[in-house]
Amino acid sequence: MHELTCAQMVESITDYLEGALPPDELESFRAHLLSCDGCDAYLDQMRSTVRLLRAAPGHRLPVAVESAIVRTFREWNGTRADQ
Amino acid sequence: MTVDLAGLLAGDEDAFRDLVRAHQATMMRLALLHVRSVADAEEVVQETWLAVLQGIDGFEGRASLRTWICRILLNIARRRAGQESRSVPMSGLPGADGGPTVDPDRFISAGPNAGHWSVPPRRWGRQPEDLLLAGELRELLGDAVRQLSPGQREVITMRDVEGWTSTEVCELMEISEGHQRVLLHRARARVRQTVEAYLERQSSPAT
Ligand SMILES: [Zn+2]
Repeated sequence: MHELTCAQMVESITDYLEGALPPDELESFRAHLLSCDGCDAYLDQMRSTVRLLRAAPGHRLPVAVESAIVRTFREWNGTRADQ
Repeated sequence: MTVDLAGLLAGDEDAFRDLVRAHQATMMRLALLHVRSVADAEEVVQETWLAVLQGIDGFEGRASLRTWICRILLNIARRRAGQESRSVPMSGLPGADGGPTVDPDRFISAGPNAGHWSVPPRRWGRQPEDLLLAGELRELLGDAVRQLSPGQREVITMRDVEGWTSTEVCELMEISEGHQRVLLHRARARVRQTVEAYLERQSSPAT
């Protein structure tokens, strides 16, 4: 089994989380993780980062804009009916 | 989604309104990755729906409806952003396009332990989630995403904020799974770094 450094681990982390590591690399990755608290903490931080992003606030479309879009639909529908 | 589309073609206004509502948050978010103001983003969404209606006969159902709609939006938003700021160079931040995503100084540079942590990351626990409620971190996260390259920004937003699958994001952006992972990796690493720096500042005040 190929031994990974921590510097290599951090660059493989997304492939790991995405389930995209080939079997042999996955084995090396897991083995390193079991014996390295730093990399385990880094993995935790990456997962935490994803959770934080999920909580991002959003913008709602104002009613006036929604109405304008629906008017566009009505017009579009009218021209289609004419054809 | 095929039900919505059928309703749409039959001129069902309620079905159309439901569709607009169902996608508004995602569309606004995606538009705001490229245009600066909320008003501009609203215009992009409006323009997108017009383009969707005009092109609805060309929708072949190969991609999902939401992917198709968002791809149209992305083209409109990107075009607008290109007109606005063609001269602004892409961020020359470390790890933006290539190279390591973690500061090499964090690792031992020589000797038998080369490549292992010299400054290991610490465990965050619930600290960032608690700070998120205070709002400052929330703003910081938004800024961190905005500072990414356009591709990284799109991938991390659709994957981690919107929760789309990698397959959908690849369809949306017309990129390969591998490319998508590279963009996601660089984007997440960058945002993680921002959070880490923020937490360090929190725990070592008055410097
Ligand atoms: Zn390690």
